[in-house]
Amino acid sequence: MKRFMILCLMFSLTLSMVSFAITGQEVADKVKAANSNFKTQKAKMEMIIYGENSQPKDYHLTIYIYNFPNKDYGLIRFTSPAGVKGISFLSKGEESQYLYMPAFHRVQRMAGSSKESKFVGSDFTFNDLSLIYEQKESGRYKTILKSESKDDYVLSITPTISNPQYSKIIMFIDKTHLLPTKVIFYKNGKVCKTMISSEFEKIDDHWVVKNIEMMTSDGSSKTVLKLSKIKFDLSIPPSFFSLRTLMRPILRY
Amino acid sequence: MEKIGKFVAKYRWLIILLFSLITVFMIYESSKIQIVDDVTKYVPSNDPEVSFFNNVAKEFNMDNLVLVGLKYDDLFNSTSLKNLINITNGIKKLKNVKSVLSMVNAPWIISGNGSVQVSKIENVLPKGKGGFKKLKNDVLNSKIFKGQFISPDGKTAMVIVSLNSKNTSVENVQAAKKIENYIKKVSKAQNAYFTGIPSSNVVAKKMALENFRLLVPLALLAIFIILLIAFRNLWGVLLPLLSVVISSTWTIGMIRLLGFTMTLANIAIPVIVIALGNAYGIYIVNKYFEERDEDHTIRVSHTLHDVGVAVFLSALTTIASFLSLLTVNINPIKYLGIFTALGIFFALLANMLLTPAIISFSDKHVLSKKDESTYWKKFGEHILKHRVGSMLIAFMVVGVLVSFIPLIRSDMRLSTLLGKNNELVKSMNYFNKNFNGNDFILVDFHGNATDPYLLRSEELISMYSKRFKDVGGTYSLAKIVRELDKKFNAQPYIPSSNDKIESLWFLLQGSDLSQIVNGDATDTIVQIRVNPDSLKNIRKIKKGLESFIKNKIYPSYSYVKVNNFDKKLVQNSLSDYMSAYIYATQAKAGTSDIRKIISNVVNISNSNLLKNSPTFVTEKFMSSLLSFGMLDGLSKNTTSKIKNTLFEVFKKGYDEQKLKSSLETFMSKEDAESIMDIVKMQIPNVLQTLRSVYAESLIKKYVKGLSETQIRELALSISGRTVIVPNKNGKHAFKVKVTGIPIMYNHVSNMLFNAQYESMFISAIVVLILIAIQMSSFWIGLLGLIPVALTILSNFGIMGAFSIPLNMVTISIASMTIGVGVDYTIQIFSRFKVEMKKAKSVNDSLIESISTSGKGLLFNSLAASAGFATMFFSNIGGLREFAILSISTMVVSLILTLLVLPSMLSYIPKEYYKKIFKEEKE
Repeated sequence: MKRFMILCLMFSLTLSMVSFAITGQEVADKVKAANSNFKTQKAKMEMIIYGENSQPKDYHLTIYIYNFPNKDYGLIRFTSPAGVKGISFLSKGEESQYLYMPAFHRVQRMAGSSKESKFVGSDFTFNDLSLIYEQKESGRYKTILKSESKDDYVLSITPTISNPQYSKIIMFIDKTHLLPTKVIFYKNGKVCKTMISSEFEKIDDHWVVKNIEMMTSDGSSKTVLKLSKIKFDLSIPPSFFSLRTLMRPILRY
Repeated sequence: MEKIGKFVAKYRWLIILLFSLITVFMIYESSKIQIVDDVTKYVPSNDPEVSFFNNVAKEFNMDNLVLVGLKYDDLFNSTSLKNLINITNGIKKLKNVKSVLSMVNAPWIISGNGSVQVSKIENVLPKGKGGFKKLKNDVLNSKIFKGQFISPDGKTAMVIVSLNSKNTSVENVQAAKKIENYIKKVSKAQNAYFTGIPSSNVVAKKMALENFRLLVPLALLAIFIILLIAFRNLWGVLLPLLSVVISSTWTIGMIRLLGFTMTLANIAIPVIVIALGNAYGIYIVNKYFEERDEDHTIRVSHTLHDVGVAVFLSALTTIASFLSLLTVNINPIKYLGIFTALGIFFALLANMLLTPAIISFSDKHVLSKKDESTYWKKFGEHILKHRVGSMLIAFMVVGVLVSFIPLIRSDMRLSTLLGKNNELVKSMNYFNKNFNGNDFILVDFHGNATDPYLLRSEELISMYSKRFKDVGGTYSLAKIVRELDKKFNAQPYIPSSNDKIESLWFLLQGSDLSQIVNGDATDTIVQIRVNPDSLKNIRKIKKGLESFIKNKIYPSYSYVKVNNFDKKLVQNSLSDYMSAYIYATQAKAGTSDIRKIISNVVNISNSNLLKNSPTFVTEKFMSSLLSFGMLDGLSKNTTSKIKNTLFEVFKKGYDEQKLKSSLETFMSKEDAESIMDIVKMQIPNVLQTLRSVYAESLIKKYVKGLSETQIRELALSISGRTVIVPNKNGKHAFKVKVTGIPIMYNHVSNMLFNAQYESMFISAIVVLILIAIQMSSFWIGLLGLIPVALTILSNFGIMGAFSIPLNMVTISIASMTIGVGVDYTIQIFSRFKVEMKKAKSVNDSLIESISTSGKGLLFNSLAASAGFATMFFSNIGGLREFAILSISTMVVSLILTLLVLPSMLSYIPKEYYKKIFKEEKE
């Protein structure tokens, strides 16, 4: 599961939901088993945001993950364009999220309630990111196996908590790679965005998705995530995920 | 004319049938007419001012704004705020709506408990009374929200709805109506108020239909009564009325057929056509009844032979006068001119063809009453006996009225046109009262929207605009960036460093800023909320803003580092900025004081700054070490030692090596290095803070009239080590221009004033040519224009005296006066010519002309006045003003024609008349 989270920020949300669901548990277990057998990861990605009335915005970022048994640490650093270079996001759990801005030499804690805000104006929310590190999802989502075909499982995931970000998620899991190929997000009963993944590749014995597109239902925007590089099980210590690391211009790993 | 008469008599059934069929078709077309009033469509879109406004408005969704004011008993409770969230999100889903912005979904910057976030109130709705009380306090203390999204009393929430810019005007009206209906359905607010062009159009449409349904029947009834009193003959009453009903129906039908919509001004068209067009019918019908012959063909051909030319000429002058409005490059006025002229043409057509065709079925004869012509004869004799006195009275009355002409103002605003008691105007006034404005002046910045100097200029302009009493709040990207910096760094200013702005901009990604910055951040606007009631004040604001932009803002510039650049130029540039800031905020400081402050702030050395405030510096570094977690797990003793070491080192003068070695005396080399990393990284921040504190102390000493916040902002702005210097060839530049709907109204009003003279001139020339042809003399034609010219002057005087503005309705008055006023002249000339040919004396001919035409002219004037008088029943202020002016035109021009024209004509020797009429005969 965690590898997948690194590959695709959004996937992590959906998979964490699957992983701890009660209904559809067999599918969830299968996906979890296939995607969480690593300790650390480093991935380089490109995020392109297509707006309705603007030129595409292109960001490059590096993501580090430390996979603890009950806890995850994550660090995202923007590497380009120049205006955002060095801006870093550290998460050590739901209440320990920090943003570092090199121009101000300042680290700022992120409030929990801003999690539904869009991440850098993309179609992903901070909540989507923070769920990478969520471990206590049990009981928060109800997952049922909606249907099954020769090639995929279709899961229906509904939250059991009050005021959820999404009212329902329909997820198509590819049986060969055990990765979602399509995820449809519902808000107040209506489709709000759709994610489609493509280009599956086996790297270091792990299946990864190299291209993800998230589109809003009204077609007003689209975000494309492209995975350019990924490494598993680097010798990154937990202490790397610290506020001091945030301020370092060059990261060691 | 005789041939036309014969043709009409021969094909009278066919004519009646054709008119009936066309009228049925036109009634169907008229029923589908749309009414739309949009100032941005008044002027052709290739007009540079309009084109610029349209581009800016389209870019920022400001072209089709619907402003909704929702007044709650208590806005800050769960029910009201959830209702506002529902309304905001619900409107967004309506067809043809592009975006919705209110206090619940606007970027809401909050800080507290060591965290900061850019969120939306809808995402952070508090719980419990205390939470709502705090939220109310925060919102009302927010410079961005107060006055922009919420009224200062905290009771009314403003919802700003942008409709799709691709919408047609009709779609906008439909969308605005849907919004109103939706709010009426779901709102739990005590009251809802609507303004903006689409909402205005909803009201305009409703009002136009109400006025149409009221005024047309009333005008017909009024004219019916006058004609019945005058002629006591049902045919003589019904036929002129039928002709104008048909002609006004055809006119509305043609507007729809040609793909045009009506404006509020244009709903006057049918009333004008009815009031003016009925006269042609009166002449025809009365002349027909005077004919003695039994054969209807002869009666009709004689009727048209005798009065056809005069009717044709009358209509032609009226048509020409309305067509002269084509010179006014303002669409509704052009259309008013074209379609009223078309209506008059239809009235002419109906009276030349249909009226004789119908009346030819009547064999009635009516004789004129002798006592009436005797009365008019005496009146004529009296005028000529006292011709000097008559003219003197006329000229004196006109002279008095002329003295009021300088008081005339042009005003194209819908609020003025509608009048203060109008429902829409009351709604506008609500916004004016509670938000100090219902419209926006937009200051467009074309350049890199995240450029620090551009943002600072936005802030300066916002501050400068507040000196004007009609300016409410301002909303801009600069304001949000400043607020964010205040919350994020406790620094309420716009940094001069591009990296810092980029970082703040990064935090704003994902927030809906579409109403102030475009998608590519290449254009941004300052929205200045204004009360547009006074065009004079709007002009003043525009002029002031343009002057400020020209004199206080560099069009192109460079960023330089203080230490690597010519100190003098740096100091001059900072002084310029400080002067602009002081000027914008209306504070006071001498030029030499400003230079002194800047010189001190720029030249104080870093080491002195650090050395002078060791306690402050130590606290700052300790705070940084804490925020980076460097003090986590350390004993109190170690923390205290770090603090003391920092204090001692900075007190003696900062030395990197010395600090490091001092730290290593009580902690590991690695820990000391970590602390040194933080110290080295934080030094620029600490230095800027120290410099700004120093600057604050100087500003407090030398500058008067700045608030604490402004002192802090200015101090921070002049303390940065990156400075903006003017540079003609600098790679940084932006263009600033002022626009907005109130500016458009001003622009159109200015155009109106100038266009008025042009249209009047053309109208006068055409009329002069026509009279000159009629009388075969240019000079007589010119004399004929004198009563008309005096009427125009009187009308302008009345406008000045009664504060009637020149607007899209009243502008037509002057041209109409020429066209209509000259009708009386034409009638008198026509008769005078006949009488002169009978070899009578000039005076006898004039008396005879008055005695035979007087009654017709009087009742023509009364009937038209009665038609126009019905506009007094309109709830559109502009139409009531039009009624005053049109009635005065009808009455004053008749009086002046009777007083002045015969008197003047009597001075011309008989030989001259003989000569010109003889030449004509030959």
